[in-house]
Order: sequence, then C-alpha cells, then structure tokens
Amino acid sequence: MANVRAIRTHIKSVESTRKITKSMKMVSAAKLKRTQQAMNALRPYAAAAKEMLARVSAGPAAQKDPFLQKREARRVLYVLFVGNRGLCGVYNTALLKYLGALCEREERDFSVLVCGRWGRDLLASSALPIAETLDTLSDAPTKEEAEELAEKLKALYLCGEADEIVLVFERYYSALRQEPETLRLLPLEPAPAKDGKLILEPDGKTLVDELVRLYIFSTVWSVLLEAKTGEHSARMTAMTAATDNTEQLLETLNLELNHARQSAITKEITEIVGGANALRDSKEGKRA
Amino acid sequence: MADRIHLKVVTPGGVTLEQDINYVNLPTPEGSVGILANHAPMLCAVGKGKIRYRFEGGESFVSVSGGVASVGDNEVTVLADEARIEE
Repeated sequence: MANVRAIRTHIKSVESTRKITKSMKMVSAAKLKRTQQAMNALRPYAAAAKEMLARVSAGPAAQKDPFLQKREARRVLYVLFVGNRGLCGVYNTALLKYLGALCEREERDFSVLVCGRWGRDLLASSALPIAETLDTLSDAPTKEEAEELAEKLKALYLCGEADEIVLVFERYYSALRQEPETLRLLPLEPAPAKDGKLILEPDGKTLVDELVRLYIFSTVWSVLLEAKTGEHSARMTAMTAATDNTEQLLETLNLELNHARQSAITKEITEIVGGANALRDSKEGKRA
Repeated sequence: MADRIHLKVVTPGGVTLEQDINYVNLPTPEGSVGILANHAPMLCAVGKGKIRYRFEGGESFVSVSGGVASVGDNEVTVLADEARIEE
C-alpha cells in the first residue's frame, strides 16, 4: 500500500508538469495563429511572383541570368528547416529521417545547411556533412530574416559553393498533417513560353533581376513560415496530448490517494476501537 | 466584360486591392503608364508613387512603395512591397 505522503508528492509533481505543458500549449497556439496568418497572407504574393517569373523566364532577357542558366550540378546544398526546440512530437525526427534517406540516395557531392536550433548534438553526431547551422531564426520569421537567408543562399549559389539548392522542410497540410518535402530553389526552371510578344519596361535585365529576387525571397519566406507553422502546430498537438495524459494520471492518483487515506482512517479507527475495547475489557476484568 | 480590367494589388501582407476597373495608371520609374482594357501583354517595374484607377462611378488611389506589375489578358497584377489604399 503506497503511503499517503508519497502519493501527495507525486500528485504535486504531476500538477506542475501539467501547468508547464498547458502553458506551452497556449504559447504554441498563439504563435501558430501568427505564423499561419502570415503564411496565408503571403500565398497570393508568392504565387503571383512565380507566375510573373514564369512569363519572363522563357524570353531572351532571361537567357543571361545566372539563376536561370543551366549548369552541371556537382555540389548540392540541402537546406534543412528544423524547429528551434524539441517537444513537438515527431516533427523534427521525421524530417531528419527523411533527409537521411535523401542523402543516402544522393550520388553527387552534397552538404547540409541547418536552419533552426534543434538537435545540434544529434545532428553533429550524425553522418551528415553539416556545412553550417543558422540558429538565430526566430519563432515568427520576419521579412528581414527571410531576405537575409535568401541573399545568403543566392551568394552560395553564385560563388559556386552549391550548384543546386534544395529546401527540405515539413509541408503544412493541416494542424494534424505535416509531411517532409523537398523544393528545389535553385537553379530556377524556365517555364515554356506562353504569350508571344511581351513588352518589358524599363528593360529585360532589370525586370528579370527584380523578378528573380522577388521569387527567391517569397519562396524562402513561404517555406520558413510553413516550417514554423508546422512546428508550432506539432508542438500544440503534442502538448495537448501531454496535458490530457497528466489529467488522466491525476485522476488515477487522486483515486489512489483517497483509497490510501480511507484505509489509513479505517486502520486508525480499528486501532482506537480495539484499544478502547481492550481497556474496557481490562477494567471490567478488574471489577469482576 | 471586354472593357474591364481586373486589378489586383498584392503585398507580402496580403491582397490589398482586388477590383474590376476601367482604367489604371501605374507609376513607373520612367513616367506613368496608363492602361486601358485589351492592353498588350507587358511586365513593368513600378516605382514609388500612387496607382490611380478609375472604375464606374469613381476614381481612387493606392500608394505603393515600388514593385513589379504584370499586364495581360485584361488583368493587371501589381506586386508591391507595401501598399495602402488612399481615402
């Protein structure tokens, strides 16, 4: 029989765990709302940028653009978007597993750029060739952060450090479904020409440069937001489950506590009654 | 309708404006460009300034901080860094 005090201590610790998981759930819910809003707001912009780039990419002005030109892909750079923290179910591990499988199939030279603070030790001990870790990204990525990352990736591509840049992240389908996916950021794929003659103002090069910049920036930002939305939502789900579990555990513990308390009381009463009877018996014995 | 243009102003923060209009004037770095229905397909840079547009029963402005506009098929889409509808 567990003693009452041990159960009480256990209940207290479970209660404080519940407090933590509950507040983590609340924080994640708030962050989720923010990133999800930003993600949805950015979608039409990213789609329009992609479409405009597609219109111009087949034209003569785009032929000279380094981002649109084909070149032999000898070095691939995988950009992995993990979360900043753990405690979000299988979110990070699923991503890592996915990347592991991807790297196994990769025959070219490759390296990995990690965006996010999670699993530094785990990643370091894995066989993955980590080129760099960016751990300064916030939980709600801003435009500036996205621009910075986009510029960094562009620079890596231009200086020949990477001939192909692939983003590896969790696509956000719904609060309950996120799946690892890849997206090739660079080189850009020229789309087949749609409209014959296209007027370009002020000139082709300026426009292509600007559209390439807009496309890369909006894509990187979308992916950042999508990854973060997924992370927050995964954490919220995990923390909801954890809170529910603590509640169940508390219920069981309370039952146990009541049992223990009751049997302690019963035992005490029995002892008192027994003692009183013994006293009475001995008194009566003396009288008799 | 043949004489209508579908105007859309999009920023990273969302769609600022989406409206069927008759005429739009875009501020480009090299002067303003007026666009009527059935304009030839065009892509142009947009400078900082006001997009003026006319629709049935009125005229209005959107301030933009620069971006790119695409014209084609009676659709004008402006990608702007920032945009605000002027009252």
